[in-house]
Formats: sequence, structure tokens, C-alpha cells
Amino acid sequence: MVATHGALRRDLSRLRADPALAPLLVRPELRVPRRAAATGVAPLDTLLGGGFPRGRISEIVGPRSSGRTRLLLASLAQATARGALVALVDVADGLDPRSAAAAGVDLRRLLWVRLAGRLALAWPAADILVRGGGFDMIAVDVGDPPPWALGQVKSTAIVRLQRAVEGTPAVLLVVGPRGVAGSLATLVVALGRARPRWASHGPGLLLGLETEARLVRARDRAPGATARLVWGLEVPVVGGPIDQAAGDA
Amino acid sequence: MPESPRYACVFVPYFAAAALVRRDPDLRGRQVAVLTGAAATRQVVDVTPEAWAAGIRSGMSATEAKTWAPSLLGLDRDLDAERAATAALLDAAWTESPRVEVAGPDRVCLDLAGLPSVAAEALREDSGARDGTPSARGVAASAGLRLGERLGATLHALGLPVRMAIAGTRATAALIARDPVGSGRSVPGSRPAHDLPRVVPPGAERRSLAPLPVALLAPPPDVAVALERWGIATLGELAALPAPALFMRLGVAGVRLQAEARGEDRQPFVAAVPPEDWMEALALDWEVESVESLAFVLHRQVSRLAARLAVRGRGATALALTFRLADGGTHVHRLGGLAPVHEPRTLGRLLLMGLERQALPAPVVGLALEAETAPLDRLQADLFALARPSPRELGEVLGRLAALVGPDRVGAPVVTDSHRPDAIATAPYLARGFAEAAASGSPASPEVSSALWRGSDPRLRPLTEAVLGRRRLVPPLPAEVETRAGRPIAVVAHGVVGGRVLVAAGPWRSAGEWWADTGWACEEWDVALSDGAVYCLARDLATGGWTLDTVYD
Repeated sequence: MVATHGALRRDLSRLRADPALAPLLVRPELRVPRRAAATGVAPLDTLLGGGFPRGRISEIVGPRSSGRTRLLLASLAQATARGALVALVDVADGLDPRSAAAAGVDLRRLLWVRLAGRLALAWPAADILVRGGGFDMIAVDVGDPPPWALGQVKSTAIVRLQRAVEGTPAVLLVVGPRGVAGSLATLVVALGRARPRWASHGPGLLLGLETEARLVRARDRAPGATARLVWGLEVPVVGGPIDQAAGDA
Repeated sequence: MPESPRYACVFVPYFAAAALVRRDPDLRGRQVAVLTGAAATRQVVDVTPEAWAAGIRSGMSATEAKTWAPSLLGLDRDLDAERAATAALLDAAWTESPRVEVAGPDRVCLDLAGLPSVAAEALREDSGARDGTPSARGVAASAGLRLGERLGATLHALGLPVRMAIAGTRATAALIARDPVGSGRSVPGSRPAHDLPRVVPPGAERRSLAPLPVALLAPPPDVAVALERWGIATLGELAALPAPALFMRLGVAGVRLQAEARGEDRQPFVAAVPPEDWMEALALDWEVESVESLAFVLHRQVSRLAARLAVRGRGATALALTFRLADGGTHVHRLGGLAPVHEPRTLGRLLLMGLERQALPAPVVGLALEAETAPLDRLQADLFALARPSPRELGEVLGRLAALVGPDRVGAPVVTDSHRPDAIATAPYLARGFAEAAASGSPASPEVSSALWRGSDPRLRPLTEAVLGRRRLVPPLPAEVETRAGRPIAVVAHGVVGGRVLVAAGPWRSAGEWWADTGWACEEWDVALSDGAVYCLARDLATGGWTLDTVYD
């Protein structure tokens, strides 16, 4: 038995050393899942040290038009591009399937749970998804509730979620105007108010949003680091200057 | 050499009683009579084999039957249970052949032509008949027996005892299957129900039918009297009569019976279309007031439906449980958004989970469980792919979510074929299984598209990143808009959003469905407000009302 085991190990070592077989043996899918799920947005992945940590709660906070929805869609798109299943608990039913599909999200792999504004159901729904297993990313988009509603979120619900996701390969992402998980979130990214980019000619055209992501909390990184994110077109396809300042079109 | 036709007939003896026993397995082995009619004229219409052995026959009054067998249990006929039994019979038949004919509620005929095992059998039968060697005949019979045993085992799992025969014509197979003596199963409980399919060699149809009694044809009373008067007792004697003379004396009915006695098929084979009717109904003999008390009955009903789904390789994606109430009304409990699942435990648990929160308005006297189905996921697990939940796990997750937030609020988003701003649709999540998702491949990875774009022009961003994120405001916020020269200059919506318009781009006009009552027309403006956000401001061209319906985010 020992001899067989040794022979197998020798064979495996020989196969690994064979350059012709290397592409087969080190297929990305064969690797142990990374500890972080990349967002697919290069500046942000650099800022986060690879992406959102697995088995932890991460938060994206920012006001309206800060690009938080776009960042959420990018993360979901990256996960579905890997062939993973993802889930979105959508408190305000705000997902726009058309822009999600355009952002690269494979809608067939996205489980959309709409809560029609019932914020209190977001946590049990996420709990079911986390404990059910099989989802690579579970996002809770709390929408834009009034501040008092977010203040009423029970910390016990978040603790239960944190315990449930711990040790799983899933990313639990909470997206909202401000943080709800407090110190239970391992990673918090704050997005500033975006600056819209408009085309200055013709009837006017919204070309993109530029925003800044700031690392508020991270386990292995110093907070305060920032990254510039630009969504939309940096240069117009047809040509013409871009009025970067917010002025009359 | 053209292949000779082969048919199998599957017959459920004592059908009405068998349907009741399938509905309630506790009745198995008991003397049960199926009754119809009002209280004073209740009459036996069918019996279980045990009751038959005790001397109970169809046509007896309920009182007479009870006198013959004091331990007899009389139950009302349940047409819903019979329909479900027929459906189960069809489900099992379709596992063996794609061409199945419903010859009656209690029997189906399978066209076996072209099925590999049966074709081989027919070849051996032919060679065996030519050679006359017992070994060839033995091999030939075993192929038919295997098919019959397989089918019998499937039907046994679905709770239906059957008799089967395989022959070159449907008429022959049907008569042989209905013959209780030849099957060796006239004595109930003597053999398992699915171990004795009878195989008639090609060309031996008429010879096999000859000794069977004429009563198997169920002739009309006047024809039966005439045949008895002529001394015609077997199918062979009827088949030997001259057809013109028979027609002159008995008319078309006589000729039709004779053709059947000769084992000739006079009607073309009419293949049934697999229905999408997945229903198991049950009429209760008593009134049930609480959901807890229904759990046991419900579990059995779910098990029967799940067994049918398993046989057909399908899973339930939605369930509708209809309660028939004592006050004449109905109450429907729906469960949707499931991944295809056929495990009875999971389905039962999901149904009960949703029911626990409901109070029934009146006692329940019957229930019908109906399922929407989809093919089960047959994708082989990929060693190199990401781990995914099993259909059972996914079904349970979806069911629990549906119970929590409502079945219509769980699913996969769908891009609708409409420019209507509020056009939103969802589809059952992975209703067609992982196989479809895997087969159609993944969308291009952002890294890949990024590399392609940057390869051509380093300043250009990848296509997916060039898309802006939009967040819908549900419902859209009614807005008061101040305009100057037709352009918005200030917006106040719902008292919580609003401000001076810093930049406005538009208008972008769209319209649709003008040919229907649901027609719409609107113009949209992209506006940056002084509150720092960028919105899509829409004006309904029919009413002139403004709404904020999207945030660029």
C-alpha cells in the first residue's frame, strides 16, 4: 500500500514536471478557490487585495449615483463569467435586468429575490441562501431606505448571517447608502458622490460616471487607500470633447 | 427483411378498485367494493381481487355484497383517482416506448417496433420458429419477459398491479392481457404482479387466441345471446365462422367481434401525446379542519406525484394545492419558483412550510395537487467546474424563499422584448436545469473583452465597463417639474428627492403597443440634480405627468 502510494506520488510529480501537460494540470478551475472573489474592476481589485473576501461579510456603501449598483453588477458579472451561481436579495426591486445583462451578468445564473421594500425580510432571505449553499456570491441590496429604517436592523440578524457565511466559499455583499453590519463586516468600501460626464455637443448625452472608492475597513490592509473608478465611456465613440465639469449641455 | 410489428398491452385488472388502493395503500390486501349510486340503490361496480375471491361481483347491490362478505369495505368510486391511475399508467408506458396508445382508462398499448431489445427478440423468434429449437425460443421469450418485468416493476412502484402481453397485433395483445386464466394471476397474491408478461410469437396470434372465451370480447347482450345459442364459446370458433354469413346475421358488430377474435387490428394506431397534466387528486371520506391533520394525506399524495415525475425524468417547478372545502368553495395554495425537483420529502416539506402560515376558511373534503414540470437536470457532474447545489438542495432553497417572500418574487430576471420602462419579467430559476446553462456557455469574461478592446486602442474601455448602472425606482416617484422652453429646470419628487437641474440631456422619446389598450408613449430626460444624483426623468405623453423612474448609479 505504501509502495503504491509512493509510486502514485512519483507519477504525479513526473506528470506535473511535463511542460506539455502543464496547461491541463493547472487549469484555473482546478485550483483551490481563491480566498477573494475578484470584482473584475482592476483598480478596485488592487485596492481590495484581490477582491471581496470569501466567507465574510463585505459592504459597499455610497449615496445615490455613487456607482454602487454598477460595482455590484460588475461583481455579479465576474462571478457568473466563472460559471458560478449568484443571488441578489433586492429590497427595493431596483434591479434593471437590461443594464445587468449589458454589464455582463449571466441572468440565468442570477437568482433575483424581490422584497418589495420589506427590509426586515432581507436577512432571513440571505440566511436561507447562505445556508442552502451553492451560491458563489450573495448580495443584499437594501436600496435607499430612510436612515431610521437602517437603524432598526437587528444586530442579531447580522450576527447570525456572519456565523452562517463563516467557513463557506461564498461572498456575502451588503450594498446600501450606509453600513448596516458595523464591525461584523470584514471589508467596507465607501464610494463617493459620482461626477457625471456629459457630451457637450448635440442634445447632450450622459457618457459616464466617475467616482472614488475608499477603503474604510479591511482585515489585512490599511484603511484610507483610494481608487478612481470610471463607468461608461472615457472617450466618445463618435468623437468630440467631453465636458468633464458639470455644466449645461 | 422488414421488421414485423410488435405491440405490448398493459392492462390493470379491477381498475376502479386498483385506483382506490393506489390512492390509499392501507387498502392493499383487503376486500374492497367500489360503489356508485344513491343510498338506496348503491351498487357494486368493481372489486379488489380479494373481494372477487370472496364471491363479490359487479352489479350486486351493496346490501347483497355485505351479506356475502361481512368484512367487505364499500367505498365510493373516485373518478379523480382513476384519472391519476391512467396518467400513471401512461407515464410508465412512455418509459419503454415513445408511441403509446390509450386503449381505455385501464389499458394502454405500446408500439415496440424499432426498440432495440424487441427487434432482437423478434429476430430470434423468427429463427426459433424456423429452427424449432427450444433454446432459440427460450432466448426469444426472455427478451420480452425482461421488457415486461421492467415495465411491471415501474408500475408496481407507482402502485398499480398489471397484466401484460406482447404480440404482433394490438387486438391479440389486449385479449391475452385481459385473460385472467392464462396469466396465472387469477388467484390474488399468488405471484408478484409484474413477473409474468405473456409473449406471443410472431404469426401465432390466431392460434394463441383460439382457446380464449368469447366473453373476453365483452359482446353486446343480444350478440352474446346469439353466440351462446349457436354454441360459440371460444374465440377460435368465432374466428372460423364465414364472415359474410356472420354479417348477415349479426351486422357490423358481429364482423367487428370476429376481426378481434382473429387478432386483427381494424383501427390505426393513435399515439397519445405526453400531457403536461400532472395532477393527483383525492376525495376525503371525512372532513379535516386543520393543516396539521392533512400532513399525512398530503405526504401520500406528494409521494404518488413524485413517483410519476421520477418515472418520466421530470421535476416540479411549481405546485398548486387546491383544497375542496365543505362549504362548496375552494382554497388554493401555490408554491413556485422551484428548481426541477422530484424528491417527495423536499416537495412535502416545502408545501407544509407554506401551509403552516395559513388558516383554512372551512373544513377540507378533498384536495388536488397539480404540478408544473420541467426535465430534470441530467448534466454529469464536472470535476473541474465549481461546486453547485444539487437540484434537491436548490429546490428546497427556492421553496423556502418562495414561502418567505412569495412565489412570484423569486426567479431569474429576464430581459423583455419591450422598450416599456416598467417592463420586468422573471423566469423560474434554472427551470431547464444546469445542463442548458452549461451547454450554452458563459458570457465573455470581462478580462477577455478588456484585453480585446485594449488591444485595439488603449484608451477604449472594455464594452461591459462602458455600460452605466441603472437602479429602478419602484414604484416611480411622481414628480413636480418646473420647465423653461420645454426643458426641466427644477424637480421635486415625493417630497424627498429633488433640486435644481444642473444638466439635462434629452428628450428621448419612445412609444409602443399603440395597437392595444396598453399603449404607452413617454419622453425621457437624463438630469443631474443639485442633490448630487443623476436621474432619468420621464414624462407620460398621454397624461403629461412627470415621474422619476431610474437613478444612474
